[in-house]
Amino acid sequence: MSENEPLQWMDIEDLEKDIPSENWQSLGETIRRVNERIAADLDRNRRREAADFADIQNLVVGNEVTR
Amino acid sequence: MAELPAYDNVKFSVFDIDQQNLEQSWKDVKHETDDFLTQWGIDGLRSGLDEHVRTVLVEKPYVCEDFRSLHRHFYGRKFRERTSMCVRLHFFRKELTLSQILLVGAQQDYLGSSVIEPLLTRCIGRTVLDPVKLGHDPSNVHLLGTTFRSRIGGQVYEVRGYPFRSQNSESTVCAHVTMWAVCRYLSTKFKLYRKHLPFELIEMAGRRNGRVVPHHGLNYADYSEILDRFGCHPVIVANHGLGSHPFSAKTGETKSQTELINFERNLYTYIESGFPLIATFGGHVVSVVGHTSKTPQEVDEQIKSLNEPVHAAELVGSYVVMDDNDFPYQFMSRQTGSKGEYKKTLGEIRGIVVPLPDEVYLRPQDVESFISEFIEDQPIANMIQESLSDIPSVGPLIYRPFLTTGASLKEFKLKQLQKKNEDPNPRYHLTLSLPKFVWVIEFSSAELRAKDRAFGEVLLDATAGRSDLEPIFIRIGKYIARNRRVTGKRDIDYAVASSYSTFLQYRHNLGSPVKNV
Repeated sequence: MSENEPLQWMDIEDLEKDIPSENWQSLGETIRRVNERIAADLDRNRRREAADFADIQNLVVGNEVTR
Repeated sequence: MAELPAYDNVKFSVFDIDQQNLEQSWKDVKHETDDFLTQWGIDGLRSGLDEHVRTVLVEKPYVCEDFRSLHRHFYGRKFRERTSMCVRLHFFRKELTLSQILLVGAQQDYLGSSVIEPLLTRCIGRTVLDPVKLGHDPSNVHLLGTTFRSRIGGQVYEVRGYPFRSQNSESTVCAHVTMWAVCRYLSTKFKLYRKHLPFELIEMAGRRNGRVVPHHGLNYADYSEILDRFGCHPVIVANHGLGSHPFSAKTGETKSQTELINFERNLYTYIESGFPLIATFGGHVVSVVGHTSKTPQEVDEQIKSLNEPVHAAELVGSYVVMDDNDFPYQFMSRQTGSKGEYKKTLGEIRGIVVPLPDEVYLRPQDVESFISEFIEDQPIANMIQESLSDIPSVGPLIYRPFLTTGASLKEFKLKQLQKKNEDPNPRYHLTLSLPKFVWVIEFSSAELRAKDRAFGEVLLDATAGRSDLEPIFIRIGKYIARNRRVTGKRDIDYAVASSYSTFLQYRHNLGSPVKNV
């Protein structure tokens, strides 16, 4: 791009026109594997939130005068 | 019939703060405030201002809407009559005359202002001070802040900072003033939120726990109620480093270092996303409003021998808190046991309340789970390794998660594109249909981070959940990956899109210039 040339908008097709279709490879399996591996973590995060919520019921905080 | 009082004239008086005789200078200021400024107030202000302030302008009377709110509902109902008028102090870092301040203007030297309320001890009302002019270098100290305007006579002064006020322990406690500061920051920065005065916030907690004044503290349900009615969608995050019941922990002793690290990652990610946090130490509550970064040399030293990916939270120097008992912008150490300037350490925090907007369903802990597995998966690990090998790199991958709006991210990328010879890849971001909020995880290295640059990024939809969590867009070195539909089938595909390039890290959600975030 020359210094004085104004920027031209490019659609996604313009951006990818030089990438041959056979060069594209799928990441679908990666995403599936990752989601499988983290499913238990996400469930644990939800359970923890519920336990914390029970822990804090009626706990009064923020009443301290320290100086 | 009794007569109405006359309208007061406002009086401005200017005082040089004599560095050789600070005690007397502040006594003079106190006298001019008709002793509204108490010794407690002087001690508090001097603890942070003595090094910087050279002139104090006293403006009296000053009608402060925040104090009027408390006066109308509490102090005005006490038997002994007291005024609702306040005094305001303006601080300047140069010796200036009244005419210079009122007629010419001295914005460059304006440190900020503090309202002095007519209370017996804790007199510091609404205060906003510029952290940069107080010597906190923005290239290293990353702080939430927004612009507040003061009008002195007809002269407009601006100060960029985070709001502060002290509790008075009768109508407000530390939880109220922290909540007030969070709400005032948000309503000043975003049009979405309406400004709320202190008593409005006190009343929002409801009366199911009894009367609201004189007050006795809040519980987490009150926090949620206040923030929900204010317009936020708060979440509560516990520090399980303190054990399985952190909120009721008697001491701040760390029981699990791993859990403390997880908690810090959450806290850092929310701060990095630009949210002020309400942090509780049990009895006491403060806001967490920023952090400092370790220097590139310290980072090199810390990570050069590591192989595992490093979360950016590990590279934080300290966190910045606003405690109503101390001068604004206190630096809290990360390490339990080591004492920073502030009296508490990160590990002693029992939990945080985060005033999230709607449409942020995906939590940082979920993002962390996703990204730590994602970067280990073979095709991605290969791309990262290949990209890191193109950099004269010492040490492992550094990843930084944060939340931002799709619009803000595009605005930033457009600016990069408009800079000649900058990375052409932001064009991809401009063509993406993005949700209102996106999680961004930037990949960097110690070398790139020192130059505020990254080599990779992953965009996740903040409204995604367990059933639909997949990246919107990925870029790692020369590779890009995105959702595509080919011959009727949707998939996430990747390809080599350009020659290897790095890009500027996203402009800090904390508003300061990009520097080693």
